[in-house]
Amino acid sequence: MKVVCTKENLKKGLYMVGRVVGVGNPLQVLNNILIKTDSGRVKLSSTNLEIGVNTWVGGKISEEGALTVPARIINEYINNLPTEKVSLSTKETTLNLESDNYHTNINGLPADDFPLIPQIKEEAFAKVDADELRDALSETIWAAATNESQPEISGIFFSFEENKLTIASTDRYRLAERKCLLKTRVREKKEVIIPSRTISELYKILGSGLKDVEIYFSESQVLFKFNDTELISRLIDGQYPDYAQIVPKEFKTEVVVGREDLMHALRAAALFASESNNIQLEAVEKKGLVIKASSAQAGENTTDIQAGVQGLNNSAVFNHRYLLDCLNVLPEARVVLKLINDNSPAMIVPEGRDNYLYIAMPTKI
Amino acid sequence: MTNQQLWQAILGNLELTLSKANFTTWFKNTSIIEKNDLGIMVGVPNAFTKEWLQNKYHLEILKTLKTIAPEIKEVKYQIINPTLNQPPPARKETTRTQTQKTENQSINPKYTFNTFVVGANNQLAHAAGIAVSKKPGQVYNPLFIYGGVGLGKTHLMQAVGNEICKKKPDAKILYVTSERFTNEFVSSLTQGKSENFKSRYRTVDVLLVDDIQFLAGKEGTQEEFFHTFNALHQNNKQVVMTSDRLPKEIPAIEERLVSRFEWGMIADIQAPDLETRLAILKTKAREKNYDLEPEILNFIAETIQTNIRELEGALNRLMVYCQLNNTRPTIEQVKSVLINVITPPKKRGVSPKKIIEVVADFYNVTPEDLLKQSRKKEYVNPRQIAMYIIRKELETSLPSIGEFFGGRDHTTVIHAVDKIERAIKEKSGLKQEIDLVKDRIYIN
Repeated sequence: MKVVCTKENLKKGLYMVGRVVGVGNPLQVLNNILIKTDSGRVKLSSTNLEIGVNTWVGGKISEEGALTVPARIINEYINNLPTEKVSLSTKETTLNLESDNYHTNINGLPADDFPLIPQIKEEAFAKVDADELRDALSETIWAAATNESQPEISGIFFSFEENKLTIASTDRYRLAERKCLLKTRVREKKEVIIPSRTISELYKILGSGLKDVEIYFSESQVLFKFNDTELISRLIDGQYPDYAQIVPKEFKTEVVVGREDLMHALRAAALFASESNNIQLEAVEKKGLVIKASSAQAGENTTDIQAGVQGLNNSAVFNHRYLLDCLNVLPEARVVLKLINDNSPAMIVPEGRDNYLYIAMPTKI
Repeated sequence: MTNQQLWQAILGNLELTLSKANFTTWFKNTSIIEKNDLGIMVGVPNAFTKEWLQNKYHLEILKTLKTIAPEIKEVKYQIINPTLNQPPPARKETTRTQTQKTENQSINPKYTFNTFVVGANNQLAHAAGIAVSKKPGQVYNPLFIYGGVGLGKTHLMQAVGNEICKKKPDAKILYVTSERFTNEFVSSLTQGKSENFKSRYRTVDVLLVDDIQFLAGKEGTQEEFFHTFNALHQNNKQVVMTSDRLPKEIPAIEERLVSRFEWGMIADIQAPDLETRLAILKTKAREKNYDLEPEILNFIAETIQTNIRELEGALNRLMVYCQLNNTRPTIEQVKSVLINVITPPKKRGVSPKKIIEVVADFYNVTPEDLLKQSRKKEYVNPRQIAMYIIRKELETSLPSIGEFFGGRDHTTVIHAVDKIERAIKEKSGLKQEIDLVKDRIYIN
């Protein structure tokens, strides 16, 4: 193989693939990145046998070939390189990198040993705007269960219907749901559960300035394709809980409150919350929202926030993290907090937007 | 050949030709999920493995298959849900905090006094356990708990550990089985690290040793244990031991150890009576958040009489059955679900030879000793017990038992059975001993 690449191209490509590489895997080749010439471009691949990433970068190819090299070494080497162009060539299982005054040989492994990343031959199932998907993911993926003892809810739920994509995640104590518009109508209704790890990887490499993300499915795999990158992953087998039935339809109290105000108050209260992170929220008509926390050791705190309260006076106890997680990611200046009583789910929605909802269960004391 | 055996045979062959890393990466969690006249379907955990087996190892798998099962011509691969094969991950948090406190030997946090059901059968042991956990090292040191299989010895001992741990979180509590003690001792000798071993065991505040009877016949380990014991006892550190019988009755254990075991407090746990069994069932059902009719609990408690583990097993079985079928059980269903538990297919696979082996092992003699003509006392008693068990359990005819024991007369057998029957009535310890032997016969 003989290739000349710009350093920037190579760096971008390596960033895409460098994150999913296995670490310390007994099978050496899984710790490596595959570099391969592919119809006029350079293809970089990596996998941890759960997720696989392929990306293509431009370069001048004078001789075809392929090799795998340890991901950590090539990544850090290229990141550190101050020069503009790199020429890559292989001799048996060594990768030679020449760039002005930098001369390097990296020991690699034959490309034949590299796992075959499964291909999906079907047509694209759905197409969604990249920025829209990125926003949707940022508002939902953190709510999934971290414990894998219930595999279904450890993943993120994707439901496609007509021209809508619904993304949801829950850990049984809270639920985040976001709807996105698809670019085209899908041919059939489809519901899948995708591992959290895959989605957070996708989120990280979904840079801004991309156009569309295409989504493909096969038997038990999902593929996301955007610009020059593909990310493929297994799906989680199972039935996602039918969460629609726990979303309350009617609320007793609605509070419109400044997001920043509420976050400041919650963070202040968090310092005085007991070990179980409990803080009390009280909605009082005409007055606003009162946030209270106290613990035997730290002391106590009360913050009054101006807010528009409609309906009954109400109060409930929450884990402050559950509220902050959601408030942190919303871009709107004001949110609407909806309550029923201290024992029923409460809802947070951004003011003036109806494609997002977040539900948290109050803590029982 | 079953699917599993066939696949094991294939893997055995492939393992020789591949590197270990390759083999474990690509063949972990694979199995044959379907087999018919023409081909097999291999279940693989993910698409990567599927691609790899299809493209790289297909020929080798076929070749191996040809030598083992030539009639099979075709191999296909299918992705199966990997989560079904994996045990759920351990609850990390609880074990993490526990292991810090108790060195690397985890006391199971679910064994506490709260979950221990007290009845007439274990009152004494329970009271002793509580006393010890209140003032470790000061009252009853050592505490020696003995009783049959599945009656709660380990539970009680770990409860002592957990309780002390709760009161003094920085106390060093070490829980080992005597088998582990032996293994660590032996490996410390072979690695020349006996100092480490000594300091590890002699600096703890509480030492819990499970199934101490397995020290029998291991002289070197016994000596080490003797010194460990002395060191701890001298410094008023608590030692708790369990065994399946009285110290005196453990064969091949040194006199000086026996006398030390009897030094503090010896508490026994007997099989629970009906009321206790019922209480245990109720507690277990509540723990699992499972609500059952009182008649059903009664039925289970009445039918399973000796072993608490079986009691819990029956309850679990019932729960799974009902969850699968989504019904509430009726008494008839319970009977059919528990038929295997209640009347276990015991007799299957038990032969006079096996009984003789277990009895010989239990009394630390060889099976030949039992068969030969010697009339030494240490052989006669086990021999008679073996005859008794064979007669009672297998209902073998008297002459053929005699035949089995080196051509003895059937009257000898009659005498043996009568004698043991009488002895059981007179000595309560003997019944327990024989029950233990029976347990062992049916466990393996």
